Amino acid sequence: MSTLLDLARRGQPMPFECIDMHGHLGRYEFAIPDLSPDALIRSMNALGVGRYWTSHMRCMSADVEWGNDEVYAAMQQFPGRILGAVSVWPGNTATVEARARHWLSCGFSGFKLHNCNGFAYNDAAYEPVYRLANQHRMPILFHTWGGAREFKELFEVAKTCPEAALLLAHSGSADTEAYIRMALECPNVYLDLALSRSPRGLVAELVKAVGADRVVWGSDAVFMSNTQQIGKVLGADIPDDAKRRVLADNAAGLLARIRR
Amino acid sequence: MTVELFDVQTGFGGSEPGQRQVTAVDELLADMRRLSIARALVRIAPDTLESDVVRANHRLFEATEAHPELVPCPVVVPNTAHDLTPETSQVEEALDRGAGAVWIRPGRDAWNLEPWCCDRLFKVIECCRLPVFCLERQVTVEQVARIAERYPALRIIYAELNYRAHRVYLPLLETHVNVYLSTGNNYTMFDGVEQMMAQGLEDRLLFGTGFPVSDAMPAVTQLMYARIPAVARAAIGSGNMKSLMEGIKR
Repeated sequence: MSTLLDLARRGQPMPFECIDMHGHLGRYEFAIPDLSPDALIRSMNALGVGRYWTSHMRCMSADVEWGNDEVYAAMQQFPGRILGAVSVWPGNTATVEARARHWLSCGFSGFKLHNCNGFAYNDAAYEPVYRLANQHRMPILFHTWGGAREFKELFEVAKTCPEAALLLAHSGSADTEAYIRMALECPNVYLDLALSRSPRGLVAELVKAVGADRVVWGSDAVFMSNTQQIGKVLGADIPDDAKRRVLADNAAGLLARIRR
Repeated sequence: MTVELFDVQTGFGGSEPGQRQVTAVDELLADMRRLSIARALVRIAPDTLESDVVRANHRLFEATEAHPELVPCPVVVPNTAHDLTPETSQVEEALDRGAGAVWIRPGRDAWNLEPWCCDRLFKVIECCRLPVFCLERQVTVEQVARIAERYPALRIIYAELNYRAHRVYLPLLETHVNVYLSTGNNYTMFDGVEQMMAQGLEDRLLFGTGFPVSDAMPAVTQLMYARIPAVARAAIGSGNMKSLMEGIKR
């Protein structure tokens, strides 16, 4: 049994700082037992997760500003542990730019965009997001579900902002080959692992196809369980060194390269 | 501290469209050893292309016979059309083969849960206190509640849960003391195990994984990192399933 697998089997925290690059705060449609940032911090401590890069559940609505405000409050409550990802509503370019600049000035460290709002990722209103992310070398997490249209839009975005890191949420949710192809063709694309189902062997398949440096762990907590989602990495058929890169080093690198 | 694990939601030997490799029993055993999972209640899984229950049960019994750590969970079907062996024979065979539960798949096996169709089957199972295993995609939660109410001595293991359904699962457990839930795929609920514990329902959770469709390790970490007392972790890990099996009248 590998060292990390053995630690996990005994419920011990990881011996390095894991970083969760796909988090949410707040309520959603279904019951989540404890919505408080304190509950999140408790589970992070159990796992050895030092930092939680998060947007709010309201990223999936027009009420994004209230969500950003809630994330900001959590960032202040747990400085250095909870990191903010800005969400914007693509009403018009000017507003997007103003709100994005505001939240970045408050210390947010990237963006989270969701296409459940009906807008394509190459919608013109998102231009300031991509320009600012490129300028500040920030990560942008995109909700994806393996759709051909999503990949087409994101290929375009990836070329628009080569200095930004594009994180494709839920990699392997469908059309795993397309995720792999996009990561191989776009050096600024990273594969996020959050997925409620944990198809057998998916993490190893992605790591072997694109390299351990291009895969990042995100749990999608509190939408899902971070204690459950970390298991897919710790149990994957990959070396401990690769697990460490996926759980920690890659995200640390993405956050360290941000230029304020 | 390690905890003994008894996986109630796992299997081997099944197939589904587009999947080239069939998971052999040896692969299941290797994965159990790798993750230190001591025992498993096993089915033929995935079940998408498994349409012959007699053949499936035969394969299951054949494979588990040589491996005492694998406890069979064969499919049972009401013999209402007289095309199978009688219900008593099916259950007797399950008991003789050391089954830890029997699996019902009414829609899949073309029967229904109305008393006039399945009463004889459930009465036989209830009589020997053999747990009944069912999957959420094959038996709705409303149907589980009706079975639990109709046959109060029947113990029901409900698996492949939806992490979005705690508003249903909590009252289901509170109302029906004979229903047990598997923590296997797709129960990825933030603080879900902790909430079950807080509601005093830790004796109704059973460790399960969802292998071979899913990786087994997420269910392991969900249990091992749950912020619950060691005694509850041990109960969920294996103690509750062992208790269910100890109650079987063989």
